[in-house]
Amino acid sequence: MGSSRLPAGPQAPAGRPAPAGRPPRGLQHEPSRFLTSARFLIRSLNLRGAAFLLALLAVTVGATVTATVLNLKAGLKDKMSRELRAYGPNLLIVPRADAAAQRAGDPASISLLEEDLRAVPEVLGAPSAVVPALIAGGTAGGHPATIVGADFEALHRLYPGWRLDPALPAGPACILGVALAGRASARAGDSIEIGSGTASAAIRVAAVLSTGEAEDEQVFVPLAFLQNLLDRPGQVSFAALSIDGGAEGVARASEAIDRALPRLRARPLPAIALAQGALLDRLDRMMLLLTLVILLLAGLCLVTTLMSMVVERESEIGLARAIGAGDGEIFRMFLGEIGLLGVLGSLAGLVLGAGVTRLIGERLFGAPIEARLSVAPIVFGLSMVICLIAVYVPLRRALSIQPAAALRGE
Amino acid sequence: MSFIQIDNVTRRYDKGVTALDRVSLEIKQGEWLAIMGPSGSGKTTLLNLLGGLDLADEGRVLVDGLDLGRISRPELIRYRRERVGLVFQQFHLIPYLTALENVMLAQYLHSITDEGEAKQALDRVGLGHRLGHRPSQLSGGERQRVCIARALINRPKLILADEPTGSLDAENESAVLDLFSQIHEAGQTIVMVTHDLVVGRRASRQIQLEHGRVAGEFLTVQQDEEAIDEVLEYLWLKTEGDTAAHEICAIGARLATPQLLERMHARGILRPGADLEFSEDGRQRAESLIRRHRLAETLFSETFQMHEAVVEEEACFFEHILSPVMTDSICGFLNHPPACPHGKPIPRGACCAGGAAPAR
Repeated sequence: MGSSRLPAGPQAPAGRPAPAGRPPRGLQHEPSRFLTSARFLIRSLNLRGAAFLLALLAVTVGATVTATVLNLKAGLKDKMSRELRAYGPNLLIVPRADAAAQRAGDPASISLLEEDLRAVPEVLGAPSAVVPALIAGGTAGGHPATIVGADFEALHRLYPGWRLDPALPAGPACILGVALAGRASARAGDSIEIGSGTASAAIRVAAVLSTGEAEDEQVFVPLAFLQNLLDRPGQVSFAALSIDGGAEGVARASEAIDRALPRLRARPLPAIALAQGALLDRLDRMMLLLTLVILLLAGLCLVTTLMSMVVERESEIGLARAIGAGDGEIFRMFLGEIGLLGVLGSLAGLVLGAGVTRLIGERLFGAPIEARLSVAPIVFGLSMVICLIAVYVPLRRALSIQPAAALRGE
Repeated sequence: MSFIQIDNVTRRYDKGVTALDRVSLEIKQGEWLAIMGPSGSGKTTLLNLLGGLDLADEGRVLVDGLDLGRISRPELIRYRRERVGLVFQQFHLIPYLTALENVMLAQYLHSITDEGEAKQALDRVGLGHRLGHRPSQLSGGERQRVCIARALINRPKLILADEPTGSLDAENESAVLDLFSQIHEAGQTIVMVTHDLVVGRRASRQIQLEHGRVAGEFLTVQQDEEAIDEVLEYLWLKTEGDTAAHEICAIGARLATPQLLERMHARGILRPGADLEFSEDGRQRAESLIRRHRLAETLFSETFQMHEAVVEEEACFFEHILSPVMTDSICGFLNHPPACPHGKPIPRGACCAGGAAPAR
């Protein structure tokens, strides 16, 4: 070793070469500096793998919960809306009084034409099920009853919670409310006389309906059957819809119908719409609160881990300070690590969040809820924000490290 | 104007401890200054002030025209980055970086990294074959050489070394000091803190700090005579065939550096061309020195009945101050003893020619 010779030093008294120093830094050197930073960062992670993994776990947990909640927030709204349709329609379409009166010439017989309703799905911008219905007073098997004419399949979609015994009728037949069936001593398979005014016709009882509500006193017949009985072809009393999106969704749909279709009038059913809206709002708030709590815990865990990493690296930071690292270099050193944590944590969180969302969908609603791409930038942004907030205190400590004290081990 | 000028610098720490008390000092460009003194004398504090790692409470530290107490923080950082190279006792290498990357770190903080240049720097300190090793895989001496390569890589104007050999064994200490000698010969200004006299003697000038004040200042040339005496004693023992010469004359063994031996050759103390062989002048000087030392030992041990440990210490002191007349007087007083209390022969002097004492 002693034989190795050093070149002429940077400066000298008489006759010795003067120190030139290395060339100063320039912008053109930034790509090279970036690669070197990455090299140092990877080396650093090799040594501090356990602490880094702990910090990464905290970010991943936060990102997973955020991704799950955001995916659920979108997917759950659809699922919950479908579930809430069991409550029945939340919007009725009725004829606007003046237009109908002009057409019929008789305000007492105000009714809609089926053709007026054909534009409704297009106006709503979604393939919403519009269920036209004609209602009349009359008798069933000689007992007073409300006769409802409607398409049974559409009606069942509107009331998915109906329990029918035995099942939905396929051909011309009626559904009797359970109370009415009892009074008329009618059972499925019997024939029953339906009458309204002077007209009457016999029809087969296909099923008995039990809801515990007003439907138990009603008889449901095919729409065309009642239109023929009453001699009101193509006419309906109203159309019922179930709109997704809670009270806001119903209000939006109502405004759209009123604005685009002057002969129709939309009448929200506020009790159901508001109940749906309130439930979804509560669900939103609960998930938001849960996310905030998890993010707070993840942030605290991250702060603790990063702080312990700073304490562990005080000597290293002190050395970097001593040999010329400024605030910028220290800042970049931490920014590199926290940036990597944020990116890796976000990616892991998005993947795990998609899996958890799918699982929750399958377990709670019987069908998976798919992850949405639109969630990715929000999760990424939130993760980075949490990382930057969490690194603030440790970074301040790192920047306050005095080189002389740190090198002494104080 | 001096390269470094320290004017009335005082540095106090918390709890009222004054580490430096009105210290004034000038260091020329290309000088190798050793700051010596016991623990707590303010050596490292002074080095920290020179390195811009700490600031004085009073007084002024001027380095290469920069008043370190008055420049802005970014300028101070730039000063550390561009003008100073630091070497530490505890090396302070980044544990997860390889030897090469530790050197590149200094390049990175200065400007840009140049792997080839960093490899050359390590090659020059004899570590070309250890580039990919981490500090934990290197010996103490190798770590210190990485530290030196890191300090030199940005071609700083000033090298500051804090006990650079404090954690090294004798062999590595010598190797590292040889490196500093080469750096110094190439014109580098070096300020080195050490409490080791032998290390301090490698510098061109030494200052002694005690209780935060400059207690003394020596040019190493003046100390060369003492160092040469120590080496001559060591070589004399070796010529006597004493296998414990290294232990008995430990200081002389450490001081027998290539630089000092070269100076001894140049002054005709050692025979030219031969490795470690006395010239006639050198033999006479060594003989006289050994004679004084062993006579003093005999006097203190046999006449004054002093303790053995004190005898050795006092003999080491008296060997340098006894005049020829006094030496002959002692020799006569002791009846020209042929051997010291350890049984080693005492070289004969002019006084012994007339009446050699019988063997005792």
